[in-house]
Amino acid sequence: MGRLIVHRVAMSIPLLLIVSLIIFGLEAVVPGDAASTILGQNATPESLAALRVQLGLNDPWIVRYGHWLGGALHADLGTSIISGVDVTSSLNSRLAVTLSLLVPTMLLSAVAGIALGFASAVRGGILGRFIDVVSLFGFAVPSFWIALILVTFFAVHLNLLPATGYQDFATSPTGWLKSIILPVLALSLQGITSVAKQTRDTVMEVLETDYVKFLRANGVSERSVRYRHVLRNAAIPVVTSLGLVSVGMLSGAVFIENVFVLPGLGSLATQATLDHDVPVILGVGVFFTLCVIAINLVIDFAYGLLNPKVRVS
Amino acid sequence: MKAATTAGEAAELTVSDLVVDYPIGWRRHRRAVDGVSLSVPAGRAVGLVGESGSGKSSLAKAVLGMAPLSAGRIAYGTTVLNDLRGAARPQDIQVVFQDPYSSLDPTKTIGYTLQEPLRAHSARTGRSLSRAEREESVRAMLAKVGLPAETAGRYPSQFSGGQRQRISIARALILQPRLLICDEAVSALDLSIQAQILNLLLELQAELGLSLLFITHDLSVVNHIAEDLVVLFRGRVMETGSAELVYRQPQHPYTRQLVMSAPTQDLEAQRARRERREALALPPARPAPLGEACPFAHRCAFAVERCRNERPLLRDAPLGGQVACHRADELPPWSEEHTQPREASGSPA
Repeated sequence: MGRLIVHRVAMSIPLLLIVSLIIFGLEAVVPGDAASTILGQNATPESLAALRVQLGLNDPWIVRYGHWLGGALHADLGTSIISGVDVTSSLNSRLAVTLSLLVPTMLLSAVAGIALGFASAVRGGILGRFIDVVSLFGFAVPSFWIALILVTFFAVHLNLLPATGYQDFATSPTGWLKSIILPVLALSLQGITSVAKQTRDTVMEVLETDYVKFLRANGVSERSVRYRHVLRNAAIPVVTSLGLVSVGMLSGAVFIENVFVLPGLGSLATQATLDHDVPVILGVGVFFTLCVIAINLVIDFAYGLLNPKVRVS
Repeated sequence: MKAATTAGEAAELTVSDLVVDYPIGWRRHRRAVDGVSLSVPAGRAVGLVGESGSGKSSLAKAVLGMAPLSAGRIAYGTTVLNDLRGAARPQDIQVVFQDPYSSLDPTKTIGYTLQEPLRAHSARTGRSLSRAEREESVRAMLAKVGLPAETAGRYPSQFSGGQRQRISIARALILQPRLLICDEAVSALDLSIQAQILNLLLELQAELGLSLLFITHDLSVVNHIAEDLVVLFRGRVMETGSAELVYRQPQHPYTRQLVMSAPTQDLEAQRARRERREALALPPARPAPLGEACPFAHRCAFAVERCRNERPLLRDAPLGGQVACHRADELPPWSEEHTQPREASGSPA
């Protein structure tokens, strides 16, 4: 296991370099820059040129990238061009919001998805067909559209939950809960349905194997067959799909934070992109990349625990 | 070996007029087994032969309580098995499946897999076995099938197909059954491994006095192991009799075709067989719907009008055994050299 972690961390270094280079390159290609954001539409060409020199935007991109990279290697992600706030500290202050969205979404997707998929495979019938149809719907419909429908229904019509905004858990636990329910639901739908579908298909496959037939013919209790054998074997591909779903949720969070006006990393990234605030964009990009690496590491670890073939070799 | 469980008295398995229908879509069924009767007397090895789709595996599933029965009766001794499921079933009947890869849970050690029937049996009978007793049983059973004791601590992925099939046999035998159903148990294995597993089954049968119901599509395999043969085609019994008789003197045109289609080691004989088979072959025809016809009529060089209108019933065959063929008495005597239809038999339509 230790070797796996070391290997993964070593592999993450070139990955981070490539991701930051792509972000930097894209930003260089996109029209507009931070100087025009700061001075607004009425800026004179002279003042723009002066500010560009002051911000160092006229330097060749490789110099600017090298400058950022030099800082990043010392864990200094720089400061925002627009607000002058330290990037690391603004990431820290917004992390809680994004985690409040992502962690419950991942848990809900895993628990509800596996439970629904398992029940539908074992019981079959109407629930099974329902899962098949709804999962197709879940794949096809974007989460921000679901978010708008949820807001219209629960916030506007029923007035049960706030339509937008975020409350800190420390100041008001119930307010926090209310503020994340709709975002979590909107972001979970895709995860729940795809995990449910994967679980259903895998469980049905395992139910057809000869070892399950043998256990049933031998009067091994149905509970033991289902939980010790079927669920245990179905867990391997389900965990893989959970990893993919979790990675997809990171980008889903960017949309959802904007729809619900949550002050998280996603909305930070969106705003920074609009402002051409390169150090902030890079900071969020690097952070999300680290999240993806961490999720994959957890999945690999779980895979090793679940699959004796991996453990042996 | 210490008796872990009380072995039941050996009894005869009798299947009478069994019909198995599988649902295919809304209110439609496919008949897999159509009125089959057979018996496996205590201690005897019976082979069930047929091509794929002949209903042989459905029959095995029905005996194991895994197939929907539309009609008929399955009994083991005096116990009627028709509606018994799971824990209610007598553990005297055990099974070895075809696929050595799907028949063992890949996430459990071999020891766990082998102990599981013992644990379920303890739960059922209330006679609990200590951990040491269970482990001893597992060790003894592994030794019986020719595997070292360390096998117990390993996972299925560490074993080859033949080794896995040995493990499957050990698992089937650990409750000391009286009847072992082998559903294509060697079909997935290499020829040399097939021979090892067949010999193992024969040794175990002799040592433990097992009854065997050996299901296969391969006549040469079944001839090696079975004393009696039942030949199945499209869910019906075509011919039964002692293995020696059915193999050496097949009396049903279908059985003859089956014997001729089995490869032999002698290349000359193989070519002669192929030529004779081709001489007898009919142009491909759509199988008539089952019902009041011989299921083999569309492929039979000896078929006459009656074969297409009247279902042949099993009756005593001229040379012994039973055969379901209207023309069994008129067929030319079987020999590898002489299998042409007689001039008088009328040309098939």
